[in-house]
Amino acid sequence: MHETERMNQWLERCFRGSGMPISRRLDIADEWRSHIEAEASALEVQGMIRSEAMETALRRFGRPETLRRQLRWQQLRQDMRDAFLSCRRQSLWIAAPGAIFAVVIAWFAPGFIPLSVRVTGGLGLVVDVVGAVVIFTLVGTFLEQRIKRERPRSEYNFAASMCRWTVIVMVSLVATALLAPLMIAYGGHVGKEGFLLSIIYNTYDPNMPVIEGGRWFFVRNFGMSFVGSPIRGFLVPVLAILAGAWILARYERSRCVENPFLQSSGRKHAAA
Amino acid sequence: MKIDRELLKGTTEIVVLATIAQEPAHGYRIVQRLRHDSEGILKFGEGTLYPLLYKLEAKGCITGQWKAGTGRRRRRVYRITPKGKKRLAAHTDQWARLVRGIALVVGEPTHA
Repeated sequence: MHETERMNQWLERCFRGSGMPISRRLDIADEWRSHIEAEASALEVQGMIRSEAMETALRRFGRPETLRRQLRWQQLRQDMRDAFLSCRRQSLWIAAPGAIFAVVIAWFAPGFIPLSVRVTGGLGLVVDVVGAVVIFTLVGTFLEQRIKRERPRSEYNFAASMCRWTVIVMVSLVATALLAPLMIAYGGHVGKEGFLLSIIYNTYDPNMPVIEGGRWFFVRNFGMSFVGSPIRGFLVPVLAILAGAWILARYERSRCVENPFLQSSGRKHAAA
Repeated sequence: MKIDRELLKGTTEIVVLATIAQEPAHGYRIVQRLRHDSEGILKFGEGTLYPLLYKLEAKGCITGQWKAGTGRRRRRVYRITPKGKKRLAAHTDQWARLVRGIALVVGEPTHA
């Protein structure tokens, strides 16, 4: 096998499934190629034939599976850092989930907000709303940068992408619809500090009775959308979730590019 | 004599930062210098080195710059930053104290 082709195959095994952007893969590949070629040349000077020297250099460098695992974790941590920094810069994205959040609460539990404000004194409600907005924005920004990333076409699988996005969309909708009013209901129960602060201060007690009409009110409303009207109430949300997942999976597909490491020639750079 | 991997944990960062602090270098050069300066005692696989370099770069302890290499390849040369120097100084101090503490307990090592 030609040396370049061997190297490209080895690199492809290192990066497959790492989640790294194409540009970063090409940069790291340049760096590793330089190292491996230098090592192989040194072995050749010691008397090894070129092909054997190259295999020895690749073996000494490390197992592709181990390298891939380390790169994947590093990329995940980098994505979380970037999502956090991105959130801080984009105030508009913080406002949008907050607006959606408020609409969902009003839809499922009309009159709930005045009830919570009366019980919590307003502070708990503010903390819960702000906390939920921050969490949703962080998660949303993280997912956004992952879906926008260019990836090799060979690593894309439509079925897997569709399943993944179906779960994410479903969990997001359920979390928004269920968690937000729950936080307010329990927040109203534990007092002015609200749900999030009560968790932090360790004063939350799930065994104490919930405020009448609080939690069960919204659960009944949410449940009615499924049981009250089987066709509209069940199929519409399911179809909406699948449609959303399909759109996201198709978008992910559109971000695919040719895998540079599966081509016969690698990228050449002009000397810096 | 091969050194137990558990004993090596925690030392990789110190020796890599110390090597880069002496003189900016690319990955291959760092590996060579580590082997030479440690008289062959410290042998780090490249699979350990490069993820560590990327981690240190992400933390701001080192910076990398592309430079022309031999032939058509370019190389990334790493240089320590002020933050990296502080981290190295702190870790070196802790390591010296740790070694002294161990030596006090187990006694000075005897060489075969």
